[in-house]
Amino acid sequence: MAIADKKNKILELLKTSTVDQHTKNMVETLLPVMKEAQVDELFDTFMEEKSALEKNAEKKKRVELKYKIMVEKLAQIEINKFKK
Amino acid sequence: MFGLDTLQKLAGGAVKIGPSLLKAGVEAFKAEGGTWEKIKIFFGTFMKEMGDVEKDKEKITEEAEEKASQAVGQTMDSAEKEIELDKSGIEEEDAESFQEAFALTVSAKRSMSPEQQIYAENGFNKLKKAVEGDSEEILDLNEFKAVAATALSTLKALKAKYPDKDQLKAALDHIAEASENSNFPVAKLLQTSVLKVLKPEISSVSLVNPLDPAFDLRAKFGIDISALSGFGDALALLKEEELSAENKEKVVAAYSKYIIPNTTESDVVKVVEFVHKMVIEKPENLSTEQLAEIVSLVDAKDLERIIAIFTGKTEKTTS
Repeated sequence: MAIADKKNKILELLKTSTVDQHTKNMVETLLPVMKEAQVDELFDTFMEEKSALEKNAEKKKRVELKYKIMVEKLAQIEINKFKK
Repeated sequence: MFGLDTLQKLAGGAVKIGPSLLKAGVEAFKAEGGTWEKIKIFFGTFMKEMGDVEKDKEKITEEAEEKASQAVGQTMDSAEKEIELDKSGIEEEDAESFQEAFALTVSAKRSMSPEQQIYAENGFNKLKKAVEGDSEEILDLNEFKAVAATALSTLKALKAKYPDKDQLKAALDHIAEASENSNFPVAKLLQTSVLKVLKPEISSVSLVNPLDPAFDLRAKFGIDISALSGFGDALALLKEEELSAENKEKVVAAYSKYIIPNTTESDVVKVVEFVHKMVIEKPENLSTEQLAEIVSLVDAKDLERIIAIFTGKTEKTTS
């Protein structure tokens, strides 16, 4: 990928990154004059962060879903007891 | 015996039972007490699982933060040594504002040609010496253009970030506060005694000598040689203690035509009044409020135009 494309991708990834605002401001400001090595480093960092965050969000979703279903089932058992 | 089958039955086959869920279920059903007690235990186990997910997320953020800061640090490295900001005793917000403004300066400087970067370096060194009171060496025109373009680029970016004058003033105050612990204290930089090194000598001869850099600068501002005398006369009016309405109009016309052509006439009038006041009153320093005022009045396109003229990035002479 060309360095200009990497810079554009970094700017896109910054929007959803969870790093603090100060770091985002510094990256945005310095990105146009950064050397290729630093751009590569940032590109890899934010791509890895994105992937890790997506996996983390999926994991959270799975845990939430399982929890929700199990609680509903347990509650149903309790309600059925009262019915009897 | 409670186990995977029981949980699978409870879930009605709706979900695949994973290790975390199994653990929560086993913990809940092993416990003594009624169903609600079990739900409570179940809930607690799941909350722990959710907490672990959150901790993982925090770790991802920390790692990204660390690596991004490294890349930023590597870019700022040599420049940070120059300013020597001592963060001890500074409010975090002030230090961050200063670092961000300094990053804008670094970015503006590095976007210039290698030759101009050397001029900027020389110019900033002279400024640093003036701040320290070591020398009052005046910047030459090339050094002035490079330093001014860097400073204007920073102010233009701050203006874009803080379009409101009061917000801009507050931001400048944060920067000024932190800068006191650096080699470039803003309050000292804005002292007239320091600012005077930013007045390169430009003679009337240099403006008409094609071999002099001032010739090119005049041309890029769109001032024809035939108009030079009128332009000079108009600017000279600013030295008059009482600026009559007629004379003010002449100065405003000159500013509107050559210096800040994209700024509205009413704002050009305010700029001229501001400059006149500074020329007549000769204050010891420029306050952050005054700096915020002048930056707010000048249209961003004019800041851009002046930066482009100083850096030679455009052949455009007038707007």
